[in-house]
Amino acid sequence: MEDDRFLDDLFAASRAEAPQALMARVLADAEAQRPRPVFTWRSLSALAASGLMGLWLGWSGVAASQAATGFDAGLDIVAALDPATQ
Amino acid sequence: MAGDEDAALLSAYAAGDAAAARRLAARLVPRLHALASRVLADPAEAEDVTQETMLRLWKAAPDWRAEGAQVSTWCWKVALNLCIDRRRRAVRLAYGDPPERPDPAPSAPESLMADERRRALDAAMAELPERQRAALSMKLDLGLSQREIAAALDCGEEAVESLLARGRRKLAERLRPQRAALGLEG
Repeated sequence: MEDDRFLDDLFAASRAEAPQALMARVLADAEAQRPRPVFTWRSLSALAASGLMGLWLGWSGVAASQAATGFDAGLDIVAALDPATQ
Repeated sequence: MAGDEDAALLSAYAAGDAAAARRLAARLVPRLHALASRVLADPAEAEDVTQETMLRLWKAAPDWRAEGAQVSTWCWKVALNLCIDRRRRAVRLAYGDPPERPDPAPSAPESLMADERRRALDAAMAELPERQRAALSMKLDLGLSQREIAAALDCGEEAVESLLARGRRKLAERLRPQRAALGLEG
């Protein structure tokens, strides 16, 4: 084959570069078309269930802590009133 | 593998990941633009084709199937079809003198030489049939393998080999007398 390697150099030397403005337009299109997360009935139900579970756990934790505190306070009162400890 | 990474980024974009779109655009836009610029020899049209190809990709993302074509191959195909449509719509321009490129600001000798080379190559490419032009650009601008070019052009690898050989021969015949003037002797 006759020497045509200069074509490779010619292509490399004259390759167009994408302007920044083009990239900006492409990314604006991407953002406009970007799929948003979709909430289905199933995902909403799961979300609601986990919220309720969290509320219940929180409430039961507080209740348990209050019960324990009340019990301890009662013991202190009993001890204070016990003549044997006076 | 590059094709897997493109598919993974497209899938992430389809799930709402904006960063994935930026990374995918950074991988594809420069190459799409180089291909469209070479095939159309018109900067404004090349930008439009690149933007339209990417827009179609964003729209196709939610329904993209990994077992289908590679993302990049799909893009080359779409871009080439858009290029062909545009050239057929403006046949008079396409086969006449290539459109003037906007003159870059500095007129340093290197810049003038680069401009001369681009004009010479544009003019020579404009005389080639569409598929030869596309095959040459995919090979020499994008560095694709013959198998990848065959997939983008929907033909066999032997046909690609023939397109490339004929295209190179015609370009070389046309441009060889200008080698010295274009600073390509050596």
